[in-house]
Amino acid sequence: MSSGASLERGIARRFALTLLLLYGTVAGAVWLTSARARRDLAALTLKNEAEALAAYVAASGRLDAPELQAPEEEPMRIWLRVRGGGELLAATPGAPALPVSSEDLTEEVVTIEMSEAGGRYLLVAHAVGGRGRRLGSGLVAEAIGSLDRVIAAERRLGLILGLVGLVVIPGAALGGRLLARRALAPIAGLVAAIRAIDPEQPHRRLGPRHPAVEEVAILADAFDDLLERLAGSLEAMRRFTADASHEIRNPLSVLRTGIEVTLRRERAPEEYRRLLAENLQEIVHLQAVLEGLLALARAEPGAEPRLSRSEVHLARLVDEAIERLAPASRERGLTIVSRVDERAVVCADEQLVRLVLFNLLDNAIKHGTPDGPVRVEVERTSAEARIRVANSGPAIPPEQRPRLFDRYYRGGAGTGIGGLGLSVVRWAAEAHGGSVELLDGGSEGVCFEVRLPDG
Amino acid sequence: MRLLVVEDERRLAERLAAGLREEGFAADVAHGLAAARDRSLEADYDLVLLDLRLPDGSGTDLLREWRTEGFTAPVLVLTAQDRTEEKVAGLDAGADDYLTKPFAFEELLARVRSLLRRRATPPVEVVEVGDLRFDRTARTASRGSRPLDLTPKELALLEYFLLHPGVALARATLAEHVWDADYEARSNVVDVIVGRLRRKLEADGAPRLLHTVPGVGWRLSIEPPR
Repeated sequence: MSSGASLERGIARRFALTLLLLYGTVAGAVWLTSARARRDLAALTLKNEAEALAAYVAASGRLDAPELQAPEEEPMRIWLRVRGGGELLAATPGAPALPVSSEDLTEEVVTIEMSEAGGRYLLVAHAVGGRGRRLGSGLVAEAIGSLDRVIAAERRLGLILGLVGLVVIPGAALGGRLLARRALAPIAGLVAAIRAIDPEQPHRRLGPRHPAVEEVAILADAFDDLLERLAGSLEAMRRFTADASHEIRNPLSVLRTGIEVTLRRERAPEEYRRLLAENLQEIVHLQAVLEGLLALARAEPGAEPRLSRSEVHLARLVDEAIERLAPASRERGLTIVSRVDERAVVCADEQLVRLVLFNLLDNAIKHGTPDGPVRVEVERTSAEARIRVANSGPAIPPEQRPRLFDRYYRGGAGTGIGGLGLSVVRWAAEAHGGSVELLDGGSEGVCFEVRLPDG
Repeated sequence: MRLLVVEDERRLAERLAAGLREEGFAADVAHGLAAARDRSLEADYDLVLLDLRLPDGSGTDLLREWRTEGFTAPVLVLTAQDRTEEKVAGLDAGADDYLTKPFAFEELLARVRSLLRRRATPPVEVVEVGDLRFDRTARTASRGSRPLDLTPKELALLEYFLLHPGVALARATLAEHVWDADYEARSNVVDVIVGRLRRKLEADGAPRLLHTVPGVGWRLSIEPPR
């Protein structure tokens, strides 16, 4: 499948490690507690033996206590000794010859653990003659216990704990893995569902099929949300492509059909001339369409457009636009009337202002009533330049007004408003921090006003 | 053959119609759905060229409407979209063929001819009456071994006669199917072209094929009038 860390393996590993740590701690504590308890018990037993021997010696003054005859066997092997004045006075037969003597010690009861070649021993010494007496100065009863059994029991316990651990830890790891897989199963389902989404059908959603697990439902919701936004921008892109292909292919078909039909036979020179003149108009239009499309394509939604501002003389650009569109307006039987403040200079992106003027005029000519004038007015106030373009075409129905400048909108029944022109105008105006609006011209005529503030 | 061009791009519609007329078709133009609807009620079209994206609505809707009303003429869709969905939608709505803009005019003509041929049952490529032979694909006619030098309008007229052999065809019928909406009812253009066609057919003293039916019009037949 995919490279990178597997969540399932990661969870299982962490689970096993945690369990190992926990078990290790508990097992260690159990082992230590048990070992201490055994040694305490051993020490207590030896202390009792030593005390009993000391009491016997003190009471009888003899060294023939029955405990000295043979070693005790329970709960461990115990030997007893009596020392006095540096001499070993009596000892259970077979008692180990421990090199350290309790006479070196100063407390009444001393417990020494020592290790000899033959094993490990615990020694408890008790002064004969009661409390308060120092060990060095009189008889001392000693009990020596072999720690063999204690150590064996400790080893046994350690072995058992280790064996249990060997079974429990891998089992737990396996269990953790299964648990992780089970916890992740809805995600696997989600992944399968996501993979099954057909990019041609971007309207399919995941949501309602994953309501059972809250966390996965949140993920599915987030994913649906993303799909929603992707579908939206995909749809916008499709509409943009559709509009663009319409806007480019139509003028191209006009050119191609005209040229092909004309070339099918010999024509009079005037016919060629007329074709060329018409084709030139088409090319001018196509050029504007392409410029607009490129401007819109460069405009990333939400991003700040980059303008190359300079001093723009609006009168010159208006004249230029009128000149470019003169053949089209002649053909529609329209006259263009301009009233431009000659001093109207604005700091703006010249190419975009050119697009604004061309598209406003083109739109006004296309939808104007034949024989009616198209008016262009440019006014300079202290803060901004105002460009108004009006025709005497049919008014735009109120229901179409809100979406008139939408990037991909084409007006509905009867008007033929739209295409890309007005959206280019709005984008360019807003890129300058300005605006475009449809002025209320009553029932007849359509007037657009663009405001360009000083840059 | 009378064609209707439904296309909102005025200049394209104009150029298409001009090219089609030069090929001997009668061609009318409609710039929107409403105009196309009106035109289709006024005249009996043999074929429609339909742009799908019109200012007052979708050509697909008009097509569907026509097909439910029993409008049977072949429809060739012209579209600026090359997306499969659009083509499928057009064909499903009842289109017979489609072309993506910009197209070659030659191809448009070939498709128009093919659709018109297919309309006749069974499809007729070559029509013969006596020693007159008419090739509908190549758009050529001959009498015996002699090729006829006919203008596109004459060819269109001859084709219409050949598709209705032995039937007396009135001036109005010919005007409707061979001429477009610019035909003026009181003009004698039909008579003039029929006369010219007859002279070309009868050159070299070949027997008469186009007979005058008094009070009605003309009839194409090898049989002399009774």
